Amino acid sequence: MRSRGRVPARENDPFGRHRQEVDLLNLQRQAPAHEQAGLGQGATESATVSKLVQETVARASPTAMQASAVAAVAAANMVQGLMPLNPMHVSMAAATHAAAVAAFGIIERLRRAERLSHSPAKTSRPGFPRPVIGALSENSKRIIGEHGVQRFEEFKRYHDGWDYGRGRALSPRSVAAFESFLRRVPELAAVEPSLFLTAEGNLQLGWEDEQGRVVEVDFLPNRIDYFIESSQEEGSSRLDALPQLIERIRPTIR
Amino acid sequence: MPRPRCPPEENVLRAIYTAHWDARKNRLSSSLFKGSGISVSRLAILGMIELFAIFHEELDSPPRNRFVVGGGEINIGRLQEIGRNYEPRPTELTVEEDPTERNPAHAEIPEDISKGLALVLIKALTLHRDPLAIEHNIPL
Repeated sequence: MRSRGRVPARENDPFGRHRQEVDLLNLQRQAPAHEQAGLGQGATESATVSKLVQETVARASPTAMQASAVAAVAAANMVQGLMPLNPMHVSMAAATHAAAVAAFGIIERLRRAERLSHSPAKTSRPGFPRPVIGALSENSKRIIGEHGVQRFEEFKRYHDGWDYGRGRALSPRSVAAFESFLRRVPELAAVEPSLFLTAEGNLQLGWEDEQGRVVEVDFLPNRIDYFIESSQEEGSSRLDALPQLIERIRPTIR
Repeated sequence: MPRPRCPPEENVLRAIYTAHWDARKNRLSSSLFKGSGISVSRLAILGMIELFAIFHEELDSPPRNRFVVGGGEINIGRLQEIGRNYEPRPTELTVEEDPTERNPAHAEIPEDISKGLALVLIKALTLHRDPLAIEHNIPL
């Protein structure tokens, strides 16, 4: 009969197998925030970094690692319907999350350290090519004009690591958010907005209102950030709240 | 170990990329200063021509892309004053030494800079053309 949630004893490396399970779970948990923070394309880190992170977390906090391993087995069993939800396992899952957060910090520090070398070989990952970004829609081309289209094509040539390792390559999901926004604001063409690329690899539009005050809109993969200088309003909007955001921005379009 | 802070008397140069600068419409994006870990270079260590040579060597994407098109100069004391007086969210700014193998003048602004504050800093910049460019990209 299969054991229900018990961690079997190991002779040499009691958490060896579970570390691998935790690794997978942590990577899955990290994926959305990882991408949101602009730390990489997709959830996949190189095997080397992943291994290094796991080893470092284990060294830094063996207790968290142990709790993570137990929680991973419990979670797997719960998913398979082999055991009911248990508050103790939930708290262990929280420890797993804490380990993931710690791992995150380490990845970021590794990336910062990587900047110092400025080696193109270290910033490119031939095993995981980005999706090819195609041409803009006719609507978007009309709004940003020929000059904007030229800039868009140039931004496609920016690689990961530009600006001393801080800059990311253009995000295809940012382009999708940009297109979606422009479909709803065709009148934006009147202000001849400028197209920019942010350090996070997102497209940005900038223009001035009637008083010459700056308006900026950044297109992130899962939200839109904006700044309206006249009201000093700086905020974010989810993509599903686009109509409300557009109503806020519309008065700045002459 | 904390990195040494650069004195307020020094001036720093921020590399300006085409990503930040729409030359035709004369607009700079807040992304030039927004966020944390903004790279700058200390003019007390290297001169403008040396720095642009490093920028092109290190920051332009081979083989023919010319992404760095200019530089924005600002005094560190002035930068700190602007941060402290930024009313929506006063921010204590510092510039920390962060020399690299190829750029001994490299430094960083570690604090998180908002879009609004970034735009105020941009207005305080003295813009420089790329002295090594055949065509000057920034119309001053």
